[in-house]
Amino acid sequence: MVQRREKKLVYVNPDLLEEAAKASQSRGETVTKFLEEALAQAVKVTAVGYDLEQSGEFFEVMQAQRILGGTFVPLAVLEYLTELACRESKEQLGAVWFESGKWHGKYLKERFSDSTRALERFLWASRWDLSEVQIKRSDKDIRIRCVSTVLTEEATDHLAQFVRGIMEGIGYHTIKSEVLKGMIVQDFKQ
Amino acid sequence: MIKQTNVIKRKTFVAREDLLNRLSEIAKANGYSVFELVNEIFQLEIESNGINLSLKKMASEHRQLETARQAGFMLGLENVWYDMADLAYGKDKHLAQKSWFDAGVWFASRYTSNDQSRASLSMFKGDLSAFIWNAPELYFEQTDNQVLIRVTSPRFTEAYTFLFTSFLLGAMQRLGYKPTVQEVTRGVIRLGCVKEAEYGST
Repeated sequence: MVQRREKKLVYVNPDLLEEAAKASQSRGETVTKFLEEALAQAVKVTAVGYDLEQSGEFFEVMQAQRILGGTFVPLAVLEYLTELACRESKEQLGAVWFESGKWHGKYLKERFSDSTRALERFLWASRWDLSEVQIKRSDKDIRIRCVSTVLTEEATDHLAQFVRGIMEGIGYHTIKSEVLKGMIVQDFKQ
Repeated sequence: MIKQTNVIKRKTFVAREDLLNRLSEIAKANGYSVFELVNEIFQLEIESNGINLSLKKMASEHRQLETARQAGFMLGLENVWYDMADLAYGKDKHLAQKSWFDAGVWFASRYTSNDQSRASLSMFKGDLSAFIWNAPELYFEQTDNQVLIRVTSPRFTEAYTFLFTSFLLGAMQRLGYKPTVQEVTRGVIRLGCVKEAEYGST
């Protein structure tokens, strides 16, 4: 038996309703279905802890990551490979991360009007091994700080190379780079 | 259903009560009125529609990331990943394969609590398809107690192909399957598996 859900009235800006009517037509839906679906999905997005305003931006960043060749990898394997690869050819691998970062940076610069904000969103969304990502801007200077309680020394070093590559790809020069196990502090100038 | 009211510049919209109650809680927690929040949501959906996007797609993306995080995955860089896989495979093939096999076992463990094996396998397949962005084809076919898996990616290196095969073998073992067919060449994996009990009885 289908359970009938109770309905309730809510106030809405009439201009938005007109725009919603046009948008719903383009999807071939009724305006009621269009708006109720929006409310339902908004509840789902906020239920997993995301801010609605940032969701569109987040989605764009993830799409960019798909285009740039992002892929999910089992964390345990990544840690094993990082440790092994560093033992064998630390510098060579660091250069690969840096070059990959530069390529990401060039794309972010082309794709987003505020590329450093896109970088912040990207790190925040994809690197859940980071407990803090902070990008401070002052005039033409930028300071990036990443903190993690779980990153190994090698993984921290790779991330630092990657971030430095991105910033150089965007068009910044590295002024200072401090890398400790689980902490990266880097200063850049445009 | 939309009704005109006497309130200037406001109309009413009829929506599900459970949704509005939840939104009321969210609005309160963020210092908004329900009116402000609902209008913000509608504005966002209208703008998203203009660029062929929707809150539904965004919610799906968030869910996928959350599932990947819980499943022990990290979003990495494909080219770096291949380089590291090549290096590890070249150094110690067996150890590298074991590492991937174990990761497969661990990943599949989250699907084995369900007693219905068909549902478990279906969930495993769904999540794997969602996570493996670097394989254009990830094909699963389940008939009775047999499973055929085919993965194709022109970008896989030889080492990565063999290591990813180990990952799948680990996962299938954890799900109770034994491999009967293994055809692996660079960029192409074809695995045939059968439920362990059935394998033993034939």
